[in-house]
Amino acid sequence: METDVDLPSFPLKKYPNKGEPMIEINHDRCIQCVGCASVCPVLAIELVGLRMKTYPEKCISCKACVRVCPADCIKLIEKK
Amino acid sequence: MDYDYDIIIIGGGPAGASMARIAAQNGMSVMIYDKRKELGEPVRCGEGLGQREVLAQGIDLPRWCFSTEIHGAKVIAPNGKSITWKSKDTKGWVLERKMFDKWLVELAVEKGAKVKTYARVTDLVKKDGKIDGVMVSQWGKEPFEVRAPLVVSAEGMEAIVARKAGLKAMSTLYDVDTCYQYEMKPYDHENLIELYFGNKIAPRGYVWIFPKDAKKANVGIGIGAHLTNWKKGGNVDGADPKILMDRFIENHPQLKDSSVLQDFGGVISVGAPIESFVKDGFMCIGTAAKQVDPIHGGGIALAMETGILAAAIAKKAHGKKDYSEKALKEYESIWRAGPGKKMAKRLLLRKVMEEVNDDDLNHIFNTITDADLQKVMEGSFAGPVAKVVGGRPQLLRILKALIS
Repeated sequence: METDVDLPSFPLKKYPNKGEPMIEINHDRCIQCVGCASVCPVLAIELVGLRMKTYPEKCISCKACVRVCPADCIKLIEKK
Repeated sequence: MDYDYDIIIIGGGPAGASMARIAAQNGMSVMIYDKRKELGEPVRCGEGLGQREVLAQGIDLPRWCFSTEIHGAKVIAPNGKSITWKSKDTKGWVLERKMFDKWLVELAVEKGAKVKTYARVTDLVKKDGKIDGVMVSQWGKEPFEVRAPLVVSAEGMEAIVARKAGLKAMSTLYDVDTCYQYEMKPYDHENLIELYFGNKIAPRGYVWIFPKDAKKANVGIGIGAHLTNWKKGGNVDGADPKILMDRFIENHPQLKDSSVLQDFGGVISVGAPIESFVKDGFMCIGTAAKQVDPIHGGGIALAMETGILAAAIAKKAHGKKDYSEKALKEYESIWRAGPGKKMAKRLLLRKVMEEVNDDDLNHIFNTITDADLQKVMEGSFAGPVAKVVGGRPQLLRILKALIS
């Protein structure tokens, strides 16, 4: 079991915002538990209506949402 | 002053509804905004509630709000050995959370509170730097302003408005557990809560099987969110709650042949409450303030208790027309002297628990019997502790904390 992941340790400037969408939510698998919104340090995810909505311009790619998602439906967009 | 309401409550969960009920009863005009289209939906918890808490509220739980009564608990060690604690009396309920949440809001409405679902509070309205109301987004309308001298965040885990108000209400990965749950049928149970421990089963957490009526069960897992594996980019193996849950069910003699009726899940705080609960004209209650038991992750009872306390302080503030941080701070100091103290102790216990490995757990379960557990539950530690070879009393305290 992997436990050697690096925590999204703060300060946040470690993850500069480049204004690109960093994550992708698979809405087919999402159970709207709002776990991602709870741990997002910059309020870049929110439940709007019946769906999670992301604000890519705020994202700092700290990956907290990816790791907390119990339904395993948030995917990191790999950088080229 | 032309305020629309005396209090605006964000979120119609147990905390918000309890506060609204008492505040409305005290003659204040209360408005609850809930962003969900249906109160209590989707369910995001294990639905367990201890009996003492509700009775202390002075309200009776109607039959349609709970699925079944709980008569005790069964704790299962990594090696499969179990100990059982059983009582003739009802020790708690497994709720029908949907019905329960709605019922609490209905009680508030009966006292005169107003509610609007599918209405999302997007931001705070400030006047001279002071919180003075909220912006509400509702289908078919432009976002509009609603004003009140007191805004209460009872939003639950996200605490988005609370964070916008300047409270440090964000959760870190280490301090949250991520949970995945199934409602399953059939499952033959004896109205006992079943808890399975082990670092392979559920790292820094446990698997629960909560009994429900008609041979149903709420089966769930909670694990430390910092232990999940994200490296494969949303397609992980290893410590992922859903994968671990499925693995547990495959290996369970009864559940492997049962059907899944519903998938749900959630994320819950198991850390300390936030540093400060109040601002000028703003209060934060319940799970939004991370007022959650750090050991089992239960927050319903605490939320209801806090809602009632917050309503009493709001009444005082209303009487004096003083909604300053200083006036509202009374809520925080009473809370920290009461439930806060108990929570701090349990937080310490959680840290101890994290140190317990599978070997320790097996050791305890091999040594003590059901009768010993009975004694521990009654508060007598001496006998059972003496039996645990190597004498590790802190381990027994953990057991008691888990099922009480």
